[in-house]
Amino acid sequence: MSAPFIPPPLIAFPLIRDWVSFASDGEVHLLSGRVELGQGITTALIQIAADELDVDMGAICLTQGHTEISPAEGPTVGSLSVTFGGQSIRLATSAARIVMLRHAADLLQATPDDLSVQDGDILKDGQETGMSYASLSQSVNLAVAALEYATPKLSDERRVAGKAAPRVDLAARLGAGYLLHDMMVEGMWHGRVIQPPSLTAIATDVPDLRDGAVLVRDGQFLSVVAQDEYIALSEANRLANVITWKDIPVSNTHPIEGLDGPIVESETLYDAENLDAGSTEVSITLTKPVLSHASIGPSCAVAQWDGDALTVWAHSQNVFALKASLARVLNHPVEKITVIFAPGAGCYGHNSSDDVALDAALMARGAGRPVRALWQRQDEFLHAPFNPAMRTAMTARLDEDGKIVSFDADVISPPHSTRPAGMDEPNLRAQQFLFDPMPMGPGNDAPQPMGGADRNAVPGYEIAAVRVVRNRPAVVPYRTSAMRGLGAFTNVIALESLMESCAEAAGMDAIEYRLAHLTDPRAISVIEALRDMVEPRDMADGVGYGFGYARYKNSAGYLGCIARVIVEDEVRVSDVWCVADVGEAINPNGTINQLEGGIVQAISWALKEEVRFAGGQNLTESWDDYPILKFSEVPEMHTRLIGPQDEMPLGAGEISSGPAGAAVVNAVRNALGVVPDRLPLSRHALVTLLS
Amino acid sequence: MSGKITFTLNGTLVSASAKPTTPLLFALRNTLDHKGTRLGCGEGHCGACTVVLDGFPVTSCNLPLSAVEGKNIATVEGILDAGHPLIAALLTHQAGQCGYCLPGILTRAATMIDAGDTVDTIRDGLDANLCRCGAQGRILAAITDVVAQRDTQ
Repeated sequence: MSAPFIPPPLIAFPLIRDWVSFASDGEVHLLSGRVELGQGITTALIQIAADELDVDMGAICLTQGHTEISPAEGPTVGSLSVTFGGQSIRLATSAARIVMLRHAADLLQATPDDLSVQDGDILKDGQETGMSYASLSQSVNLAVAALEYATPKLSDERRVAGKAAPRVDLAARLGAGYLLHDMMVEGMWHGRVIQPPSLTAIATDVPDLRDGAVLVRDGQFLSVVAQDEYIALSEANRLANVITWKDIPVSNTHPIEGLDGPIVESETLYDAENLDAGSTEVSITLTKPVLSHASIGPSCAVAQWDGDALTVWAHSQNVFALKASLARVLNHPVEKITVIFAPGAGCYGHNSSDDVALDAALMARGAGRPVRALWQRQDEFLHAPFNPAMRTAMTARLDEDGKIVSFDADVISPPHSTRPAGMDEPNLRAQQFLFDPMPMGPGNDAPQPMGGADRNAVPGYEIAAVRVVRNRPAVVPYRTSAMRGLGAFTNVIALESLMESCAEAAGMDAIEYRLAHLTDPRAISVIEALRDMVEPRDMADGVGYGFGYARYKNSAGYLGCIARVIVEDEVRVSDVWCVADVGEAINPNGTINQLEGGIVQAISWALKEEVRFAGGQNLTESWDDYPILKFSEVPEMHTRLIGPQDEMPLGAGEISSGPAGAAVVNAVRNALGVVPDRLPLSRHALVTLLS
Repeated sequence: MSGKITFTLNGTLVSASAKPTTPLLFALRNTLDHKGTRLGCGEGHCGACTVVLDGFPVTSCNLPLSAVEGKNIATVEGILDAGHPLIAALLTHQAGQCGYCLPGILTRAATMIDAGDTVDTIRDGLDANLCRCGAQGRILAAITDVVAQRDTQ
């Protein structure tokens, strides 16, 4: 048996009390640095704790993403919240229960083995003792190392984790008051920012504001603050229309052309000899345009200065880095800044939520009162960071039996990660426009096996010789960001497209061909279960089926998809079958919700989405310019989880995008008999593809 | 310049003073403390701000307050207070993720269910409401249940 997995956050925050404490009224205070982005992590963390503590889920109050209270776990990213954050809470709450029982045993002069917990009450031989977590809350010492005591329940002893639980926050999201967007602070005004059209633009002829609105300006950071939200909005828009901007150089390079241009850095991430082994060569190239996060709600933050103490409420993925980044940009002592997470609209990666937090802090400082800052729809489409344009070229060489013996991938993409990183690289949009401007950092990609642009460019298939090269284009006329899966979406589609071509070259069934290149029994089980779900197939005119598989990051959940498409003037996905093994699924219903949400989003990316540029100038301002998948276009979904519940939770939130995109692209190929090489597969792209 | 606009909000007569061009959405959220209706795009494209005007779902982000003088407006608060069966169905199906779009979807779909629409016409009607998390399938399953209940009564 391998050594037990110790989640990194528990190493950084080793004490039980770093994660959990008990109130004398019976409430359990659970602490997490992971935040609720709409993915359901709140419910999953509470399920885990309820199980280990033997309390009702309703007794647990979770504080998440509070810089002064929560363990500074870092960002909520990478489908790692359950794997790292959840396992930390499991070990800490398990230890809390054991320490509580030992403490009770001392007081009762009993042995801990005779004691148990029921709904927070401590029982001896099944009888009440008058003691409870609540009654012992003041005398117990939880400033002890969790790992010394933690003995989490085995999977068959759990009664909450592993079973479908309703989201604890869903009902509240149907109405007012739950979201940061609804928050009110005494004396709060509303703010809107006026986005400079370029980095070098200088505002001239800024007119006076009307209706009591106040201009807050620092260099080229311009914003309008008003008591009435609509006055803030309409005055900001009036200003944006009448201000003259000087010195606005706009790049002439379209983001896709940038991929064809000079490369500043070429890194060989994986290398091998014998790369020219094999007799038959099969190649594929896939180009993906710039994508927008396109959350339905624009980003929002509330900032309040109390003397020199700044409090910011933000729906950031990483309040800890945001706090340090704000300190740097505002040139303000970090210990005077508190950042508190509050839920916003759906977050699929590094969006504008951190940017608007700086905007709010600047506006509140300038206006001398609390300010709620909200970006507008066109701010999001024009100025939020984007999922970058990418091109992936892959080549496989097959031996005489059709088996792939060597593989290489060339990924051309800017780095996906430009997150606010604290003191060294605050990376908040407005910092570039201040009187003392700070340039944005260059961004970076995590090293393999995580990877950024190159995520999942390393095949999960058994191939003897693999080389992967990541190329960074010199010209990137927009700000990039990490969005759900990063490079995995493009790379998995390219790889699964390549596998399809290789199977054809080998004269083998496409699914059998993949199985022949896999040895991991969990991967094989997923693919076999999926194959069995979809027989028989109807092969009407214009109908195509496509398959896609990946193990996200080659280390998270295993997932396979089959898509059925109907290609007429446009591509319509009628059905998606999906099988996943994510190991232990804390909330299977929530896991499936995440997987299916990722599938719908991936279909939308694959079929419809592209941020439109003329040269280097972004022309995408509204939903009219950037259609996403609509209600009438979503497929029937058929999803199964088959993972072993006694295995580590592997993460689920990002694992379906690549395989779903690949299934759609391969289904279109199956229907049309041509290999798509450019996304999105819009009507225009189909015409180009067929001509 | 601001004027006083009077209309019926979820069955109660209310007045709001604002510039007549102020969209209804801002009056609902900030003047009348009805924050369930959400600002998405401000252009009537995404449906997050859907309310019901004299029985018909409309977007409130681009509807001037002056246009609702004397009219009947229903919002998600009214639908929640009335305990519309779609609420329970959405929760049963766990039909949502971030939920930013849900008040608008609940408002439009509940109104269409009550007006006798079929699942197909409701699905097409909901093309006016965007959901980015990809919960459409579950939302449609919830609607299908409620329409079936309605049609068996």
